[in-house]
Amino acid sequence: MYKEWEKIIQMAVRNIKRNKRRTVLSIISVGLSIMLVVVLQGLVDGLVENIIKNSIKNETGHIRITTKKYFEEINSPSSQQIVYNPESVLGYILSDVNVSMKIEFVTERIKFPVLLQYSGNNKTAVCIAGDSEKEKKLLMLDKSIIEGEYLRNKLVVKGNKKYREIIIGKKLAKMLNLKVGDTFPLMLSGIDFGVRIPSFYVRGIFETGLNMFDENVFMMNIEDAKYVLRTNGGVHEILIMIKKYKEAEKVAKYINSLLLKKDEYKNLVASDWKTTGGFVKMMYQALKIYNFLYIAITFLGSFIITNIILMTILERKREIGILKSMGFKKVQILMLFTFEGMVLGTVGSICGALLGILISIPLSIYGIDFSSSMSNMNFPMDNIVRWSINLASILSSVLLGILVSSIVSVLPSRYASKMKTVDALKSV
Amino acid sequence: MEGQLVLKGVRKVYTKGNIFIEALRNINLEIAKGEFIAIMGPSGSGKTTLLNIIGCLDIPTEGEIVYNGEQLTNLKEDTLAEYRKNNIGFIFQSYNLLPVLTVKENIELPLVIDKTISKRERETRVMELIEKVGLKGMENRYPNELSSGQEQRVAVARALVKKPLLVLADEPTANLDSQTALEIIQIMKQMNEIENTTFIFSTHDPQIEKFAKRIIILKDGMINSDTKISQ
Ligand SMILES: Nc1ncnc2c1ncn2[C@@H]1O[C@H](COP(=O)(O)OP(=O)(O)O)[C@@H](O)[C@H]1O
Ligand SMILES: [Mg+2]
Repeated sequence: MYKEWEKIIQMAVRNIKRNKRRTVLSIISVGLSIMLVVVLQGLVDGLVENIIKNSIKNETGHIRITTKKYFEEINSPSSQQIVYNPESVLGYILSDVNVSMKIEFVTERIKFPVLLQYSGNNKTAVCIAGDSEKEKKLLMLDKSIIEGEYLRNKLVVKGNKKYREIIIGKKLAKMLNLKVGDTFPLMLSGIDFGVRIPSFYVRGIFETGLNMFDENVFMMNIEDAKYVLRTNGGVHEILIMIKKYKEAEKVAKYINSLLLKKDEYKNLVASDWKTTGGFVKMMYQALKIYNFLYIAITFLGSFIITNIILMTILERKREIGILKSMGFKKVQILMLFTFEGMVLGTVGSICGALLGILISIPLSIYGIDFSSSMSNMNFPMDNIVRWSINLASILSSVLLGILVSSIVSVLPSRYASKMKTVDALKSV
Repeated sequence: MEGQLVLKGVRKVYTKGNIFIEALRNINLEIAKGEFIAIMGPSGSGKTTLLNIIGCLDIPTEGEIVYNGEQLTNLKEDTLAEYRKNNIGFIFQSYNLLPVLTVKENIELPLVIDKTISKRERETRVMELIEKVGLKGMENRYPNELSSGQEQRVAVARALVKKPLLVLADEPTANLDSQTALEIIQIMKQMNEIENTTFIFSTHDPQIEKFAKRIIILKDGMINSDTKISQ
């Protein structure tokens, strides 16, 4: 039977309605803290999603096949770790329907560091070589060209010489004083350890808004890279994009089981975006810390409820005495007041969450430009960060608000439930 | 004996810092079912303390209380709450209604925590009592919309609604004018006669005293006299 609980809730609600000023005060306090949590969470979720998105398209793909030793060097993947004949590796794993039905597309990349010299300084940049067509869906540098053109996958004839084309980040171009149409030499050491100095033609300049890219990266066609590095058709990475990115871990595991079956592929490994994305791993760590912050904010905002419930209890001592004399048990008294805090917390949390959503909507559409504060950071984060409105996150902050306000209400309510009946009755 | 309440050697000492106040000393009482008892005595003689102890709101320092052959002295708080819920109705000098509940809701409150009573039964009992105490048409009013006499009628109805075996009333008429006081005591008397409910009430009022079938006079925490009145 729960009619007594119905009554207890009803009484709690009526008492809340009776004390309008206190009610408004606690709803504002809890509401503001939950609003803050929702907005903060929207920013953090937006950042994380942004970093994951960038990290997937620029770095890891959903799944990346490399040699096992590729990641062993701490700072940068080793150029000497080549996946030879990527076509046959792909042919092999794609012949399994369990893999092929999940896959959207695959592509290959060669990534190598280049030591650049400009006006007496040294700088290390990264060359990413990929399939210029398929990279329109990954690196998407075609959309960021601000001068010249995107890669055409053609040799350029200038004078009597032929050049291979590159596109280059805006800040890097400025540093090296390069313009569209310029040619410049690059010193490269090939897989055969031979050093060559081919010249390249600047086909275009891109600006992604991602400092990590605009300052450090240029891109060339993968076939050109295979040639200048003498990889014999080998690549550093095979990137696999699947239809449902959440299945990446599972699919990677399956691909690994396939690779293990063939002796010639035993040195290869498939890793999903979570396990090798350095920034992604870092973000997941940061998220845990943020959870503590959300809880702390919620406690701060809910603390007022403890005081308000205590005030209510002191005012209603006689009432407590009456209920006890009638035979109300300790839990029932406890719940009478805890419910009040809970209802205040619930209303406050819902109002706060709605307000938080209202604030987050324009922020999710227009975002905020963090470029000035991020200008010197090598972070795979777009300059403009858009808030993520994530229903699960919002719901969890509402639940957090309700939970925390119930917890902070229990303390004073326990005091009420333990009060001696005669003492409660005596108070005026 | 069925419904008999026995107090044996009850003593109550209050401690206030270093001061000990002996509010009750060696009280021995036997109260049979259906009695209508007035407890009288000057202010500070221990009337409230005695009623609180009989009602298990407070525990005696020494002595025991036996109800229906059952020891109540060493029971846990929630067990005592259960006992009060099932057996005792309280009426206080200041009516102590819950301000957020209507007349009807105040009266039915003791039944809400009683799982043995159906909703329909609850409804009929409450309406019956509202009629009996003369509050018909005021069911949906809140306490602050009532006169003090009406408030005490609600309190009486609330104490009677679960048909308790024992009703304890601590100066129930002290805040009422003599006409209203008379009406209240008549309602109590009526319930005593119809339902055979035991009533124990403390009072200063000689007009009320006349209705009692037994008068216990306390003095300095002791029973000064205990007189049965044959009517
Ligand atoms: N909680 C308490 N603490 C200390 N002394 C008390 C307390 N309650 C009552 N007393 C004292 O006990 C005595 C009896 O009080 P009470 O039972 O209230 O008498 P009455 O109801 O007849 O006026 C008085 O001296 C009173 O001051
Ligand atoms: Mg008294």
